[in-house]
Amino acid sequence: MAARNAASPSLLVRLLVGAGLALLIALAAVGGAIDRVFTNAAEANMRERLEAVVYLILSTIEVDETGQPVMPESLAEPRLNRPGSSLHGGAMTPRGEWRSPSLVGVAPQPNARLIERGTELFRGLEADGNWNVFAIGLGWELPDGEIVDLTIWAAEDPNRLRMELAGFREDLWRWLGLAGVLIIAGQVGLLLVILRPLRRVAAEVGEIESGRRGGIEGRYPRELRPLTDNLNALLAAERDNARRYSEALADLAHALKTPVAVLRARLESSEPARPSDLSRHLDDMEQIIRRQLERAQRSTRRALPGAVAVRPILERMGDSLERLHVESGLRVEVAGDAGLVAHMDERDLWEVCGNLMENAAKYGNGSLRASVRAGERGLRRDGLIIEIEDDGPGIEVEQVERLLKRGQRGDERRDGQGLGLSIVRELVEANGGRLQVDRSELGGARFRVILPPR
Amino acid sequence: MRILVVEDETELRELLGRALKRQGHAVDLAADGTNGLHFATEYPVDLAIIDLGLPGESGMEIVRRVRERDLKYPVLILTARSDWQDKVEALEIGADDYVTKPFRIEELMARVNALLRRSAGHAAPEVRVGPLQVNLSSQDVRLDGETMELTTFEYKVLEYFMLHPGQVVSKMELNEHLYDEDADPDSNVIEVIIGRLRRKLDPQGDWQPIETLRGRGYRFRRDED
Repeated sequence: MAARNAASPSLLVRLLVGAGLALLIALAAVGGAIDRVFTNAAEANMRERLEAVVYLILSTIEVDETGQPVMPESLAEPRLNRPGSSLHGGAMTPRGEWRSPSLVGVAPQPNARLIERGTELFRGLEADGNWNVFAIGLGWELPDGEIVDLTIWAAEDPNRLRMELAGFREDLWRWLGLAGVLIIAGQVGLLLVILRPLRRVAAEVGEIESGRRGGIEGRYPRELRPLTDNLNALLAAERDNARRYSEALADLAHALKTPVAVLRARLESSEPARPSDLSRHLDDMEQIIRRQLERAQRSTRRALPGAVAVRPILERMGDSLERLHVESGLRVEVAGDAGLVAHMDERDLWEVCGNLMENAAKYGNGSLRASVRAGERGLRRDGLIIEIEDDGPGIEVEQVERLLKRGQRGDERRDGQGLGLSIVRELVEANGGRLQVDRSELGGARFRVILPPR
Repeated sequence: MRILVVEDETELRELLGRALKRQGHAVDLAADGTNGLHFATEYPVDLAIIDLGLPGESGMEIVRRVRERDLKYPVLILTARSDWQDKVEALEIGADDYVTKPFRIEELMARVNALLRRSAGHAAPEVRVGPLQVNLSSQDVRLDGETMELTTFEYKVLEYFMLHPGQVVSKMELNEHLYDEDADPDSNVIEVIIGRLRRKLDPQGDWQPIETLRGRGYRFRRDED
């Protein structure tokens, strides 16, 4: 049991591992997408912030006649004036530079340079540990009419954006993780509910094993019905096989008792036993053993036999019989839909059709009819009726009863029609059907094999 | 007639051999399919009895190969009762009859005789030629309605003629089909038996049913001759 568990993990574990992996991938994809959208938004946000600073500086800055940028008043953005804040700005011309007071004591200082007039520069996330920068390049007209390059820039400590993103990511993954846990918990609950019928089947099988139950009895969902029905069929077949085996053994023992007793009596009597006499008894015993072995062999069959087309068997049997009885001019007529199938062991079907048709050929007067048709309608499959008719003398009621009698022991049967028919009856019944005999329109006997619907 | 028995069960094979010899047949016995196939295709067999479940070449295979070579002698198969599918298949590929195990030896002999008779073209067991009347089933021989006593070999020679009506039968052929391989008979024996048959069948010498064709063999008169 433990080895089997190790080789094949339980359905619950399989489902959990499978669903867990799928969930992990899905959550990772969702998380990745959200992260990207948020990062882009944060970057755009920062650019806007830096742009606002640049334009704020631009609106206030002056350039004196020497071309030196001058900030006449303190700026409206308090962070630019507070040393140690994370937001900085500055303006530079080829002749001088102004930097916001927030840069006092900051090391290293942003490495500002002039950019071409009319261009912008933005360094966002790709700054990679360097300053995040936005700058514009423009021209400033001095009072003497000279135009100097002026570059106004704003910079922000990259740690600000990084921390903002880190905070967001932590939140994001925390919530996604929580969602994952909730989903898996829901799944486990659902699985336990779904798997409950299977556990019930297992419990019932356990009870069958311990002998407290004969078959699966509970009501189960439609998807499980084929399993439970077939399991029941399997159990029934197994019980049947066991019963037949023990019957065959009992018959064998019973049948051998008499010849053994006779042999012993002969050997122990004062008169010497005649070899021919002894050999006759031995022949009898041999016959009995053979017959019972054959019977025991016949009794094992598959519980869930496949479908066997009936008409080809009737046709092939018919052709063979016509050839065998060519002198008496036997004519075999086969009727029925070629698509009709019997759900029984193929060997059994051959044996049933073969014995019945051989008898009909033997006891008829040259006409034999073999037909197959659908029987009672069933849920999963219809029943089937096979009829073998001849134009012989037919069979009287008492004869039928004698030939098909139940409970007749194997050793009392003799070769000939009796044995053939009792075998046919046994095989038909072992496959869940029944054998009927009445009179045919042809004038002789009509044997009818009726297989029930399922 | 020369009869081949291919059967792997030693006791049954020996039993069949003895019973067939008692009836005056020449018998070849093979214990497995490979030997059986050799006998069946290389020897002048008149009828073969073949068990379907054999070691080596299967019985079915022997029947198939015999028919493939266009050998037309009758084949009787032996099977277990529950082997209907095999029986039908064997009949389809060219077997002529089957006997189901276990069987009574008399039943098998009757089938063998019927098959031999049928393969010679006689529908009924009774054959009449002139005043002669032979029942191939009961081996009863009558001349002008009077029962005749014949020895086993006299009967076998007569039966061979009855089963090959109007055909020239050589001495060699009679030897091959009526004696076992190892019997090695003096060819003079056939002449002696033919002589005795002639005297018994035609005491007055006015019918002369057995012609001698110099250098070729013998021919039994047909009814219309």
